[in-house]
Amino acid sequence: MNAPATFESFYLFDGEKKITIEKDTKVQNAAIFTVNKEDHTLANMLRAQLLKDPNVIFAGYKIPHPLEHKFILRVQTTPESNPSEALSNAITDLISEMSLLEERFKVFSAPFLLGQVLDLHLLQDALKEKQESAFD
Amino acid sequence: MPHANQPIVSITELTSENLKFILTDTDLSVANSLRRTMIAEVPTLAVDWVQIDQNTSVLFDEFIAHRLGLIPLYSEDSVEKMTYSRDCQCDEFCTNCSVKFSLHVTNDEDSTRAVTTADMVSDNPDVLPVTTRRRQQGDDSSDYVDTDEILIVKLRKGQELRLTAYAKKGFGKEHAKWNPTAGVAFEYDPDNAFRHTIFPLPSEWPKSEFTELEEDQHEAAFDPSSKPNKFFLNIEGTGVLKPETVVLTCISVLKKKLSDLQTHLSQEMHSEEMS
Repeated sequence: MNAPATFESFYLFDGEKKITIEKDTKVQNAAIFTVNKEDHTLANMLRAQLLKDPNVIFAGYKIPHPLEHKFILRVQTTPESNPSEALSNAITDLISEMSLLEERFKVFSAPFLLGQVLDLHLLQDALKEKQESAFD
Repeated sequence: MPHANQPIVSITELTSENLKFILTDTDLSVANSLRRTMIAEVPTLAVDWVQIDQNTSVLFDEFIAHRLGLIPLYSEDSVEKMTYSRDCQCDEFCTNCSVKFSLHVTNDEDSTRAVTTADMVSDNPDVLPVTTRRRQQGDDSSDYVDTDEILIVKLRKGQELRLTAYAKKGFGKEHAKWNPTAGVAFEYDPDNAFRHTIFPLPSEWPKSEFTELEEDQHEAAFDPSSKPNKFFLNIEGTGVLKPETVVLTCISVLKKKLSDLQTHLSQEMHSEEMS
């Protein structure tokens, strides 16, 4: 009866920003990013990729409440970098990883798909032969 | 590309219904995000709007509408060209954002008439229920599924069902009817070397199909230093999309999410600099 529409988990409302940045006042080079209408799918990937960056000294995320569809990602870096740059690099790295995966998948699935097509042709040829021999 | 992974894919099996592959040299978080996206964010077509003009069957209107929504519709090639109805420029519906189905069955005989997906008439000949398409392609075999047409409702003599339905583009996050997979099996570390799970008695547990253990071993030696690196995935399709299409669409959906986030992030960074 009170259930919100399911599209609210991914549909950004009017005036709602996808991502907001809030600098952490207590320490330097730290920021909290609030990403709206996203879930663990994106958050966990970003967090793990950030942790690979040697300039990143802290990276963690949480979903404050399961009924509110957003996550907050806290990033702290060394003075050599800044959180926004680290996050941007992490996203770029992930995009390149996905592109590479896509390419490799296409390449390695090609022989299987070709095999399916060839099998189909062989089957059709065999059926034709059978039909022709039936008429003799 | 400073710290990006370079994942390796090795496909073990690829049929029209099933895809098995092994993903190496990537993180657990990435493999999991792929799994989540395949289930919840790959768009397909399913009935999402039903107008019932006559229903004298034993099932009430919403029951039948619910069943229609769950019918798998062959979306290969069609769904990628379509827009979401909420984003479309038209009022109501058009061929760019929806596919119209009509169903009209009256039972005049004494015997029971089963209303099935064979009675559904589609506006777009490329978008049909999976069972109807299989029948048209003459494909009777399947390892997994019953290939008969899907039953919607049974009608007695004198009962009638007449309706119009529109199928729209959507994905699993909004409703499970848009899920293109029957299941995505995901496994890593089959021999429990990382001890991510603790078995009270390892000898009691059956070995995985991907095990590298000997007959007498039940669990691999503890490896405290390495991380999960090799992931075994098995995608079973419902016939809505080919398994390889599911994976490729999944990757492009993730890429789009990431690049949209990148755009918004750079806008925010820019507006912060200005202020």
